[in-house]
Amino acid sequence: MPTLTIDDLGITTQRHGRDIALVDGLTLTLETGRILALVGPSGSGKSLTASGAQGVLPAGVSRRTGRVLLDGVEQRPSLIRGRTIATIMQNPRSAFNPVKTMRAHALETLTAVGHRDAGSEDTIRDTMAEVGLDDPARVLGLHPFEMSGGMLQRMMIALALLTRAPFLFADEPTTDIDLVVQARLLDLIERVARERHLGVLLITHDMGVVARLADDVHVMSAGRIVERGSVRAIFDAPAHPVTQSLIAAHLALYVDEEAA
Amino acid sequence: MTPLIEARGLGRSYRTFSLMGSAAPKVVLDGIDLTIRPGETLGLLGRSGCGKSTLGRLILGLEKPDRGDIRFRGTALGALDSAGLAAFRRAVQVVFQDSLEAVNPRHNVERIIAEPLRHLTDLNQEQRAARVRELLLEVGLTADDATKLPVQMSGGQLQRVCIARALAPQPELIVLDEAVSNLDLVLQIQTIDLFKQIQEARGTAFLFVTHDLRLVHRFCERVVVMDGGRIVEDVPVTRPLHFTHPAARALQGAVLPARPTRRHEQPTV
Amino acid sequence: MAAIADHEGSAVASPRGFFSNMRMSARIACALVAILLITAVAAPLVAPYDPNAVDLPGRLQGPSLAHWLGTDHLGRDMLSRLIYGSRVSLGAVAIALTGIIALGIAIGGTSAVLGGRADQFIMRCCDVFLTFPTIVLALFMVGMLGTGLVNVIIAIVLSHWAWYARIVRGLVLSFKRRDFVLAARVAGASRTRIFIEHLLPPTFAQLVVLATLDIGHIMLHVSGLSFLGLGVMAPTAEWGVMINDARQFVWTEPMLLFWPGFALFVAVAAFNLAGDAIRDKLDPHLAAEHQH
Repeated sequence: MPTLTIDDLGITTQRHGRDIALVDGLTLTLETGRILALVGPSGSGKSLTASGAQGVLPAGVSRRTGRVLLDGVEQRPSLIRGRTIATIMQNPRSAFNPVKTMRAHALETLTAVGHRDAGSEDTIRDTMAEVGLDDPARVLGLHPFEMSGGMLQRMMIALALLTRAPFLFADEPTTDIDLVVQARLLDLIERVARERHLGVLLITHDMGVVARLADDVHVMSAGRIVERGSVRAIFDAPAHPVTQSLIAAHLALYVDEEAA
Repeated sequence: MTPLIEARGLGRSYRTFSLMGSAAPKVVLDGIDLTIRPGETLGLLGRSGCGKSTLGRLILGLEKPDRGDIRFRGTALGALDSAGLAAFRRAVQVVFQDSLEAVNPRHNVERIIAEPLRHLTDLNQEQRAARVRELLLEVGLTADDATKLPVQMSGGQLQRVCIARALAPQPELIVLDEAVSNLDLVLQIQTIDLFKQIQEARGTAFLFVTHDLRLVHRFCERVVVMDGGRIVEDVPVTRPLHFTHPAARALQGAVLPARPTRRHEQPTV
Repeated sequence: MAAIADHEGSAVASPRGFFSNMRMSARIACALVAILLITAVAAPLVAPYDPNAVDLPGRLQGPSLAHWLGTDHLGRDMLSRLIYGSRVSLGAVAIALTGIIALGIAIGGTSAVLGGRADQFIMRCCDVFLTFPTIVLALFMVGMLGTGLVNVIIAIVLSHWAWYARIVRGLVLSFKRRDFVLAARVAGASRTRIFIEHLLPPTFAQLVVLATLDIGHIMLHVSGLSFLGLGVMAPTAEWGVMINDARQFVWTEPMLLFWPGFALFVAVAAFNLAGDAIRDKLDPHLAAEHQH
């Protein structure tokens, strides 16, 4: 079974001339066909882990240690981005070029990963149908401003699937969108992950999303993974105080179900 | 009991323009009737674009309705004299979603919290400084935070500064416009617990604008559900909630599970 | 939540790093600007001679140890005249820009704060002023009021303020819809208070950046109009006047023409490059890109 390993990732920033560790000695392994949730409080380093593994860190932050291994073989970050790992982000609108149509985005994605050929248009339409975008012919001619946030989310997932990358990073894919759209989107991510046998790294702070989607959970705090376990184990017997507080805060929202 | 805020037949539409020419006005609010009584916690629930934030802004007096009116203790907002308007401003405050966007980045915490005190109260500078210290402690910050700038604080801390600013003129109603949506879940719970404490200590009414039904359960006594610019449900919060309108039921059905679902017990193939 | 994490992780640019992070060309430009400002302010201390001291026997000399850049047709020291000339140029630019910014903020700000018909009316007036080229307006002013630096500065202000008024209006309107201004309204602040406390400071910061980009261009106007004999009059040491004086010796003493022209070129280029660099540093959008 193909695996993607992030090994000994260390990310630091400079403040007042000193190095501050934002991610420290982090190791995790994704398997295709499984969804791994990386959870933790704000500023615990979950998003940096994803961007650090792909070599796309923000300015002022740098990777000090760490390798990315595909089936045990070290890879250059620039080569795995898009080819081995596809990404969906929190804000779909910022992920699209406002002056380009969906067709241009799709073709650009295919060109970037070297999958562009005579059948590209059909591939694109099939993928769009797969993510629930009806009438692909019309949608392909649209610009981002002509589409709703929900449609853009689906298009972003379609672009991720077009890369045929075996691994998917989803960074807060549903934060701050309304619950009905969120539910549909989570259904979609689950369905394409199962059907395409993807290995998913799901970054979130919402344990409800974890309960809905994840197979395994890693809990981060202050740049380190403090607890690993199956989703059942994490919910039923959280061991680390950070995990316990996350679970307690989450379950506090469901008092009635718990009592019942 | 006189209602604190009473909206009657509110309507609001925006004209939209596009490159293709002007489109028909988009109706954002349509025939809204809503009453907020002193001391109650009212949830305003709906999907994005349902008009709930616009309703919040009308109640704050930041926008004017096209039709209908909003009454503050029985007087329409448009008919308030300057003393009445000052009383309305003292009585109705707001906490926005994005705390970093909601404060002047050039002002320190003390100045931010003291702003309503300067404009809406007679306190002198020393009294204002003392009041800011009290408020900081009340929202769980320290007196030392008074001299910090917004960029020196975390999102959760800065949202507490915004809450302190809203509390400063001792309002009777605070509009929470998605006020916890940008925080992580642990901070959301802590912030809502803070609102509860405030409500118990001061009897402040809250209008809690949100898309998250789970938070309504935790905080509100009554919930109003909006869909397409109209109010489609207005019910007391019970466990479980009794919604009848399809839009409200869809929101209910979208709530995420509390615990991992049965699927996970099956062995992976 | 990502926004919070980003915000916590963002490093605020320290003043110490302000210059060290610039490109070399920008650093040289900033250094040149600093030298220009210092020599202009300290001209009496720096200049070796009185710029207007005529020495007819020593006229049209080449460079020497006594006169580093030689002397002009009246025997005046070129270097001293260049140094004093920077005073006139920079002083005129400073006064003109102050006037432009003040008018821009007053009129553009009023327009944005009032809104509605008043806004429409003020913007149409701006459009009228935008159509006047500086040179035409200057000729008109000089025709009406006579030649002189003051009239040239008035002409520059009148032909430039409308750009700034439009920019101020746009900036104020964009800030006006932001949550921190709405929060100030809920806090009971009056329109005037909101303008002074919340809208003016960020607008002014952006304007100053824009203004640095206009320094070179306005400096050219001052010298250009003086060259045409509309502004500063001989014998005052001013670069445009010096170029005009040197015209008659262009074939025999070309260096007399070269030095003031070169000074103008270097000053304009330095201010433009420094303005670019400062804009890159202070522009919130570009700064945000640096941080992410």
